This record gives sequence, structure tokens and C-alpha cells, in this order.
Amino acid sequence: MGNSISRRLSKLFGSREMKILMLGLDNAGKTTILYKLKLNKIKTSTPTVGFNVETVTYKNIKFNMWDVGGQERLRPLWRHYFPATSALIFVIDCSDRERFNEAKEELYSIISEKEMENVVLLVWANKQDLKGSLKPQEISNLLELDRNLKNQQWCVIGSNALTGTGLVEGLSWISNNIDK
Amino acid sequence: MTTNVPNHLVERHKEEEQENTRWNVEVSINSTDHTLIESPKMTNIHEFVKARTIKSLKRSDDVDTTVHSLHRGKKDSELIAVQIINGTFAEVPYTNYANFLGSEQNADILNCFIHLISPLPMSLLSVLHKLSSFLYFIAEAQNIDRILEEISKEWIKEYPSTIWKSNYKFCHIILFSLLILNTDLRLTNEESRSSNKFKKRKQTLSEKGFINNTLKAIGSEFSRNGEPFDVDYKYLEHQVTHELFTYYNSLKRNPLPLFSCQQYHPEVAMPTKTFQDQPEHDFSRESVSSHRSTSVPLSESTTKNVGLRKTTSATLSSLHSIADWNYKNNVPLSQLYLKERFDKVLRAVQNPMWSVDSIVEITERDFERLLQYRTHKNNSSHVIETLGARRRSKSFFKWFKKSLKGKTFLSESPETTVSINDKADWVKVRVRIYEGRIFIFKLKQTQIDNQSPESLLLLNMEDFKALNPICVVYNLYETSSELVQNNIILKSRNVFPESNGEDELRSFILYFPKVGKKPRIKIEFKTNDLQLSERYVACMNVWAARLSPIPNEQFESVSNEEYGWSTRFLSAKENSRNIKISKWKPLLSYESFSSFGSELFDMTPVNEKIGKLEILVSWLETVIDDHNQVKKSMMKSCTSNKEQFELVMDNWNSKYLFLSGQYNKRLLYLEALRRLQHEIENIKL
Repeated sequence: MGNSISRRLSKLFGSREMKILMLGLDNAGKTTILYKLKLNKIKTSTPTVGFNVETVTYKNIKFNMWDVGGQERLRPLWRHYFPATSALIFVIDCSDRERFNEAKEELYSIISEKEMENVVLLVWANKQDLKGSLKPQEISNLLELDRNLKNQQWCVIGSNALTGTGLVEGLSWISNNIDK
Repeated sequence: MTTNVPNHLVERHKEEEQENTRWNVEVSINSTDHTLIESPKMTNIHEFVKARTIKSLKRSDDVDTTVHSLHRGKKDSELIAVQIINGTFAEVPYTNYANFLGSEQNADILNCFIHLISPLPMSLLSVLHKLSSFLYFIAEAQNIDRILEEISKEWIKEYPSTIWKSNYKFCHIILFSLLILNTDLRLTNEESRSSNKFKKRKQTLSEKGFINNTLKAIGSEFSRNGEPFDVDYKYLEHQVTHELFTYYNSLKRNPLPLFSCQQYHPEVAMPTKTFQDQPEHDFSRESVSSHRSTSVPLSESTTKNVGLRKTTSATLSSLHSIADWNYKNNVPLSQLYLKERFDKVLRAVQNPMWSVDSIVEITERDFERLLQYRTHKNNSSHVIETLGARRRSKSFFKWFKKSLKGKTFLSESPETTVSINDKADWVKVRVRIYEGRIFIFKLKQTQIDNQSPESLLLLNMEDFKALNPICVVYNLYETSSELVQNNIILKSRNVFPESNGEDELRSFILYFPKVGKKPRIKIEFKTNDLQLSERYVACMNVWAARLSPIPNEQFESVSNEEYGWSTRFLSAKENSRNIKISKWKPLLSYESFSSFGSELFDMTPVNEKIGKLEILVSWLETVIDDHNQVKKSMMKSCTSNKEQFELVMDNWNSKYLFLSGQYNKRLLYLEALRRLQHEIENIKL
């Protein structure tokens, strides 16, 4: 599904397809985001036994977004997702300060993999609507992205998966940066 | 019963694969056995449990009440597990059963469920086949994780003498790995069958990758596992590699089947709507319609909830039957705003801050653009047919393509103000601003000429319908309005003040935001009364301010992209600077997707919103000042590198224009809401 103008623009500018991983601790809001992002879908993928995978079409770019998770012993299996991944989205529950370090460790455990060194990283600082939630700047400082990720493009954007705010901005940032 | 002989395993796996097809979900409900208590020593307890549970639950009057009360929690879990297997558990749709079973608080139910589907096959891939033949097995990762962990524990209990001994964790890893593989393979197949619209991404999880990654995960667990292992890892690796190889190829040929509700017993109720069932979102703008009301039903392209795409069919007669603007075809229009106490009062007194309804003029061209601004495909054919505007539709796209080439600023003719052009083709329309929407009714010129504007506004709906108007409805999300004379002063006003204001502009403009790649559009209305124009502007801005959220996300994002103004960039020596400059552009926001979802409309109370807008506006002022300040340093720091200079200056300009646009719009909203607040206070007095 898509409007006729965007179809015309697709012809003018061509289309790309990319695989995006969406990671984060449980309860960070990954699945809510995934379903919130079902905008302008060209085609509904046939449901497949297993994980939630959504195909989202945005600005002539087709995103295949995987909702990935699981306990520690399953994390080495995340390598399954790495081939052909263009961007990593990491979702953080900004109201859950107690698990922040756990989230940070999880992020670095995946972003430091060799296969991931060329992907762009978007951090959705989710649940901004909740009182006391950390702001994107605070998240950025606490994650120490500036210090640790010298060669990768990254961005932290505040989001609210329930209302959808910050999500379009995030995809916009990814689509601006994948050519680089 | 061992995995030590790979060939045997392969054979066994094949047998089980065939067996998979024979499984069904029928559970006996004819047993007359009395309630049984599960004993861990009973190897075939599951069959008993199945029969007993169903019987005991279907015929609760026969059940020993003592036992029932003692095991009430367990019985409840069993009941639900049986209902899930039968597809009769109505609290969640069947497509969400896996998520339900996998959630932490339903561990008991999951346990019962696994017991009910036991015994499990020996091949781990067959375990997944069996599971997915009983359950619509699509779920969140952590829920899948929990289901597979429980299954692994059960499998280890059933097959204690495999190479894994009692270490269910390895089975858990393999099961999870297989499920990722299934999703990946299926997705790739799906894409390869899909249209060639998109360039295919290089894919997929290779056989080697699958085996290596799984072995690595097993290796990590092996080294972490404190329990003594009397198996040599090398030997284990060899065995597992063969097993994984078999699984990979089998899964490639024969993907896990997705359970369908038709597999349930015929009397099973159909599931309710779920995520998967939801129709697609659409980009169409909210509440757009265009129609001849008498010949064809007046159809509204979408309601507010574009995500649900409730295409309503509304006629003016139905409007009349309800006699209220809140309804179309007896279906209420969605509410776009947070209703507050003052709304009732303002509505009752017909306060112009709340609603305006009058006859104004619009140019034919603008009206045509309004019709074209909507993008709902389903309705477009209806519109074109009704209006006979197919040819004009094409010409619109021609214009659009042309404008994309964007040769010069002047070529963007739609942005010019037509009020100052005497030759403009003005037509009369009825424009009503009501509850966050603008309704525009275009009548035939003769009908308007025959009646005074007042009489037209007084017409009841039946009579109005008889006039056969074309109607366009939009919400005012992220729009902005202004009086033309705020920017343009005709010379007669200044030079000939004695001209009795005949040449004065009394027009107002409504700007719709840029939507996706569609440019912002400017619609101009002309009135004979300056005060009327002011009322429209004030009313539209109040609604726009109430509906539009505060775009904090846009300003709060943090990134390491360099645009030419960071301290790091400015403090580095120019000749030693090796920093890549990115092109600055604002992140697209909700403003660009005004039909993104029903929740995009802001529901903040007016008083609170004023506070938030004050903070934002004052913050934007500071940011704009800072941005102006940094310009000098930027100019100094890139003097010798022309290419870099142009890039950073372009970035500076883009950001400045963006900040300035945001500042003006949010300030406009803030002032509109302050006026509204003032009005409310006056009414209270």
C-alpha cells in the first residue's frame, strides 16, 4: 500500500532494501515500536513461524525490522542476524534506571562485534513520556558513545512507542545515513 | 534413543517429519476416568492428563470438589492449556496464544501446555514442527525464549541419555537457533517471490554461518557450564555439526508450518482481530472527502484512525439525520482533541475561537489543489469520476514532477499570493471550522448568486444537500494560518488612506504542512470583512495549536555527526582537520506524516500546553541566538577550504531556516492558545 505520489517518486529515485536489527532488553518497547511503524507498507509479509519481523517502507527504502531478544545464553546466536545488516536500532527504557547498565552491556556486546562495525547505530531513548525518564542527552552521556564509538555514526533520539513520537525521526536519520 | 549415531538420527528425523503431518489437535473428551493427580513417575501421564482435564473441566459437576479446591490453581492452568490447544480460549486471540504462553506470569499454563503436547519427538527440529502444529507460533523474542526453554527441559526429561545428558540449555540454544533460521529462510523466500521493486539485499544466513554461530553459542555455554561433562567437546562438536547440517537442509526444504485457526475444531470461535490482522496504514491525510452528495454517497476517505482505515460512507442526508457535524452516516467522527470543560461553554455560546462558519471565496486552482492534496487511493477513483477530473489529476502530477526539478524559487508558483492578482478566478465556498477540522463546501456559482450568504448559512441540512455541494474535509494538524496583510501591504492603504479601504486585502492563508515528499501547500481565502478573516485565522490557529504535539524529539536528539559547528571541529586546526562533514537536514517528524496514526493528535490540556510551548519557544530563541553566534567562528575556520566552507555554510543556513520556521510556528501556536486562555477567563468572569 502506498500513495501514488510515493510510488512515482520510487520510480524517480529508485528503491533500496535494508535489514535493520532492533535490540533491547525485554520491556524496552521493541514490539510496540515495531507495530507502530507499520506505515505505508507496500506489502504485508506472510507471517512466518518464529520471530516478529516487520517490513516497513519508508522514503523508498524497505526496512526489514527484526525484534530480537533472549537471555544471555542465546546472545551468541545474534550473529545469525548480522549478515547484511545495515543499521542497528537499540531501544532503551529510559524510566528503568536500575537496568540501564545491563542495557549498556548488551548494546556494547553487539556493537563491538566485527560484523557490526559498519552499521549505523540509532538509540531510541524510549518511554520519554514517563516521569523521571532519562533525556536523550543523559542517555548519550551514560552510554559513552562519543568516547567508545569513534568510527561509527550514531544518534540518540527520544521516543514514545505508544504515541509514535520520535520514531519517524529515527527512521529519517537512518535513511539519511545509510549511503555513507 | 541416542544422538551418537548420526545416520540413525537422520532416519529418525525423517520418520518424525512424516509423522508431523499426521498430528492433529483432537483431544478426547469422552473419557470417563476420574480426576488423576500427576505423578512424576508416570511416563505416560500426559495422555491421562489430557483426557482427565478435559473431562473434569467440561463436566465440573462430576469432579471431586476436595481435589478441585486443593488443586484449583493447577486446574485453572490446565483448563486454559486445554482451551489453547482446542482454540477455545477466548481471552486472547489465537494468534496471540504463543505470547500468552510465553509470558512470565503464565509459566504454569505453559507447563501444562507442554505436558499436553508430549511426548515430544526426538529430533529437535521435529519438536518445533510439533509445537507449530499446535500453536500459532509467532511471538516476541523473550516469550519464544521461555517457551523453548520449557520445551527443552521437557525434552531432556524424555530423552535423558543423549549427548546432552541433563543439560537442557544446549537444546534450548539449538531450538532457538533453528527458529531464527526458519524466520530468516522464509523471509528470504518471501522476498525472492516478491516484486522486483526493491533491490534485493544480500542475504541470507548460510549453512556455514548457521552451524558456526550455533556451535559458538554452544561453546560459550559449554565453557560457562559448571557441571561436569564427560563428553569431549571435539566429539560433541562433530556430532552437533552433522545434526545441524541435517536440520538446516531439512528446514530449507520444509519450513515450519504456520498454524491456522482452521486446524481447530469446527465449532471453535474465530479469533478476534490481532496485529497481524490489522489493515495497513495509509498515508492519506485525515478526513478528506470529495463528492457530489446527491448522486453518489458522500464518502469520507478515512476517519481519524487512519491506521484502522475505517472508511465511512457519509451522506449529507445522514449529516442531516443527526443534525450534527460530529456524525457522518450515523457514525461519530473521531475526536481529535482533549475535550475540556471550557469546550462546552465556548461551543454553547458559539465563540469564534471555537467555531467559525461563513461564506468566503477561494480560487478554482486552490480548491483543485485541496482536492488533490488528499492521497487516499480508494477514494480517488470516486472523486475523479464524480468530478470528471481525471485529466486534471494528471496535470497535477505533471506540475508535481516539474516542481521536483525545482529549477528556481520563482517557478514555485503555488506559493504566490493570489489576492493581489485581479485576474484570479474566485469562487464562493462555505468554510466551517469545527472541532479541529475545516469543512469546505463548494456550490455552483448560480446557486450562490441566487441566495445571500446569510440565507445559505441558515439553510437546514436537507436544503443544503439539495444544493449538491462538493465537500472537502481536512484536520488542522500542524497547519498555520495568517492574514495576508501581515506580509503584504497594498500601496493604496499607505498612499491613499482615504480610499475607504476598498483596495485593502482581507484575505487569509492556510498552510498545510509538507507531507512526505509533498510540498507544503498554501490555500488562500478572500472575504469582504477583515474581522471575519481574523476570526478564521484565530480559530484555525487555536485548533492547530491544540492538535499538534510539541516536537521535542526533533531537538533533543544527540548524534556524533559533524555539520561544521561542534567545538571539536572549530577548535581543530584547519590544515590538520580530518573530519567528515555531513549534510544537515531536519529529521522528518510527525508533521510529515499527518495521518500516521490516531495517537498523533496531542491530548495535552491547554494550560499545560501553554507552559510547554513557552519553554520550547524560549529555548528556540536561545538556540537561534547561539546558532547566529557560531556562524562567525565557522566562517573563520573554513576560509581556505572552499568546498568545506560551502558545505558548512549550507548546513548553517538549513538549520537556521528550520529553527526559524519552528520558532515562528510554535510562537503562533503559543499566542493562539494564550488568546484562548484569555477568552476562557473572560467568559468565566
